[in-house]
Amino acid sequence: MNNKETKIITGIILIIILALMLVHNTKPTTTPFFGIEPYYHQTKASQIIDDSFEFKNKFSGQNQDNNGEPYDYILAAFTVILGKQTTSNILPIITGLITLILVYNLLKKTNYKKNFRIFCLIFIGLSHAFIYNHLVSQPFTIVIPCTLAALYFLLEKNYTKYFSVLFIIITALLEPFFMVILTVPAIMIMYLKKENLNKRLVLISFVSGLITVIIRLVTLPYLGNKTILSGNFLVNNLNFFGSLIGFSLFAIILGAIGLAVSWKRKLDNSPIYITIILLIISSIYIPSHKIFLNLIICFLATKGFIRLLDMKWELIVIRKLSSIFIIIGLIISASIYIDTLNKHTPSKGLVNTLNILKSNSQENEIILAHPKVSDWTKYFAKRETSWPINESILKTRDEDRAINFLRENNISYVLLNKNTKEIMINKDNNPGLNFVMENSEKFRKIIDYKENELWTVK
Amino acid sequence: MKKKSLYLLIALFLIISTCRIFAALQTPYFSEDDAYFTLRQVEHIKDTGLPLYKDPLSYGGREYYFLPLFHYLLAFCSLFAPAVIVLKVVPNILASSLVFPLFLLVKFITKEDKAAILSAFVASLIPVYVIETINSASVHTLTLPLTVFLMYQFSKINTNKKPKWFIITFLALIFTNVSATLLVTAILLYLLFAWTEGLKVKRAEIELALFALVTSVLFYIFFFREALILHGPDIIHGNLPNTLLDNYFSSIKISDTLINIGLIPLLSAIYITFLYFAKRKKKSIYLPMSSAFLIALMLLFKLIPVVTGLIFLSIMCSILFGEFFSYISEYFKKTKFSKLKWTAYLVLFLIIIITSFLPCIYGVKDVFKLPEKEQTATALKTLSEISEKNTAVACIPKEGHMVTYFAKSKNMMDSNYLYINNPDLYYKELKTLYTSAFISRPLEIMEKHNIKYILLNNKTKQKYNISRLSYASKKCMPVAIEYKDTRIYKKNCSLIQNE
Repeated sequence: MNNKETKIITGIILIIILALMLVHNTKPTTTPFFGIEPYYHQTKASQIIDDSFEFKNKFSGQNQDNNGEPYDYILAAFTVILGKQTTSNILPIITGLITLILVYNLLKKTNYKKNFRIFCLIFIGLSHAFIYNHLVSQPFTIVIPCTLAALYFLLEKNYTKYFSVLFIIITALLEPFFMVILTVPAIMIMYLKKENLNKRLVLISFVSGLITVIIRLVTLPYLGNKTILSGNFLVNNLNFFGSLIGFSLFAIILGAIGLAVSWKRKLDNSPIYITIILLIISSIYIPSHKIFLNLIICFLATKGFIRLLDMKWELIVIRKLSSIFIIIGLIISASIYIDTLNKHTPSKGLVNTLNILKSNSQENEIILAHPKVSDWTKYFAKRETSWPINESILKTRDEDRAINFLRENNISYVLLNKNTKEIMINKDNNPGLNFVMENSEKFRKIIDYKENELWTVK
Repeated sequence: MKKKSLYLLIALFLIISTCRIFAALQTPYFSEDDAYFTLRQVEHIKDTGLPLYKDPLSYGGREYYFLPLFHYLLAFCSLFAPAVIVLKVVPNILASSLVFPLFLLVKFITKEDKAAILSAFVASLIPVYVIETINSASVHTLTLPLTVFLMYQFSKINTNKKPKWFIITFLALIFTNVSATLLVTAILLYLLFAWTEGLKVKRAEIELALFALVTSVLFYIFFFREALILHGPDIIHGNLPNTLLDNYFSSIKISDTLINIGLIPLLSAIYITFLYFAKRKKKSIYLPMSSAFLIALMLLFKLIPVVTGLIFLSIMCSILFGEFFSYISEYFKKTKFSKLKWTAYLVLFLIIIITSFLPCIYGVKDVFKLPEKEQTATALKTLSEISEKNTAVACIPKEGHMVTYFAKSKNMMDSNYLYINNPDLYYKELKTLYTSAFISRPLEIMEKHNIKYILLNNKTKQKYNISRLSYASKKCMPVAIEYKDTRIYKKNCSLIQNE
């Protein structure tokens, strides 16, 4: 790498990292993290540190003991050194920095030109899934750099190549299903690539990875924790429809052009196509897989963009305008996404309500809270939450039935927010349990603060 | 262009615009409710220099983002004349100006002045275009000339290689109306048709198409990001309440299409489409053809409001009519009847007059029969003098903008559904207000939306099949204003008192 190139790359990476750090300042001061997942993982990490790790997710009728995931232990280790807030905010940014460096070096190792490498970094840095992954602390924050590190070391020729085994094992521990998916293209690469790759090492790495996966699956329930994606496909996958982990339409259009360009060497590129197909399928069940899919889309988008620039243009002014608009589009799209991300933070009203709940309630008391605010409740109020499997109980206007349900599940407090109130509306378009609460002497309203109400059951 | 053609074109423009303006000035009211929204925006831009994106009166106060270029143009003109007059005159001048780009495009396709002039004449007499734009201050009076001019610029790019006017006009179009996406899709379809027909697609065309695609996607995603996040794919239908979807995006009937577009333009467009798909090949005709094909498909699949779709389709048909005329003229020369050329032209002209001009006249007559508007406007003007501040008026969505303009009061709902969460609920509650037999539920709804008055005119009576509010009483819901068939009821009691 020459001097000029080093400066450009360092500059780009620094701008992206600095931008990520600045974005942290856009969220309200009352909310330490973006999204929901950091609250969930940080609560678990804190409990690991407190040595009182037996986290219970209580559902009416059944109790599920849910042990910590490997990521929570990593987080706990960092929390001991750096503290809660710094760990969940800084760790993703550091892994983001590592990801960008690894992507750059991987592309260099695979002989991609300087322009391509630079644009690829810009495309990744501005992609929504990357921003999510390196602002919101969750297992993929570590999985992505680990996977890239494994790939990077696999291409090494000296003794460092054996590090790949270690990184594959870490990936397998953190995300077993992701590991399974990566195995398929890895096997394909083994048979397709003749140079620059130690086939035996690839085999050893991925076999050890798969063994880890089997051990992990046998010892821990896995799929039960995962959210199955539901609802509209476009809404869940395109960022301008408000998706949290989605893709920018620009990246998809450019990616499609890149795919068309890469089709000329379809046999060589077949592992990429297979990975895309597998990741699309798996991301239906595990949305986080879209974060890795995003890296591939950005790679293809760069191919598409470079192809557009290299194309022989008849109308030079159109070439300039189109390239400028694409870059502006990506930047605006990223800034809009940060706006979306900001909406996925607990409101000031909710945080205040939860702080009041913490000071009013006992440690062993259970709160009826909507799943969307459940992790926030556990983090801020430090209380267990409950939500019925059958939501019809929340629509009832029968006082006795409501009280019985709450007593059976040891629920002492009810946290009402907009989502909960919407669920409580019955088929006659009338309020259900909240109507009972307002008209029964067995309930008392503790606080009503900006669309958040806290009720206690006498 | 020959001088004779130029004079003819200018004469056509002057005649059409004079007739349109003369007709529009016959009434002080507008035929469409949306015109009053435009009027308020124009007045606001004139006063403040900015559009009224945060409207305190619509839906009791809401944010509504729209593309503002048309409103800015009208606001600029209103510096020299009252806004109401500007809204009557300028859109009609713009609508008449369609003859210029249309002439240029048809001339480019056919290389014949005669066909181009006749095409422009047919386009200016399209019934649906005239009826829907003559007294409504419709944004399509600007989008259509821009769209046709862009089609001309796009077709010409291979010969002159100068994209300057395409870029400027395209940027103007995307700031005017979302129909720019229609043009972009039509261009992409044109490239596909040209490719499948084995015609060489030039690099400059691909570049312009790419530019148009990137620019429109970027701009609309950015501009409508809030609406996209709020409504998701429902944005295609403008977040219309489900009950209204069938009215705006209804299936089209053959008879209606014939009357609205005109017999000759429609049949000639169908003939030309089949001719150039099956037998002949001419690259320049594929762009208007693909546009017509796309709009027809969108109408079929209910992806575009019927009126908008028919207006665009009719203009594409009149472009294709130019090619049809050129083809027929050529054909006629080869037959034994070539001496009867002028007789044939006369017959064609008469058919156009009968099938386009007469429906136009009848349609326009209906547009200006506005006793309903006059009654409602008078009642609302009276209301503006007696109503208290911050109270809302319940009316059907198609009269919401009239309420905000004349009564200067908040409305419960109007026809701009974007950025409104759950418009179905509003619609359902509005129906309850008009059709409920008992007062308790209407009172609950009125208190929820801070409604003090309910407007009941013939249109509302017809819509809900009622003659009066069943629960109206002298004590609780007396008639506050009565003017001919229009009544405005006032809420005099509250839910707590009533209980």
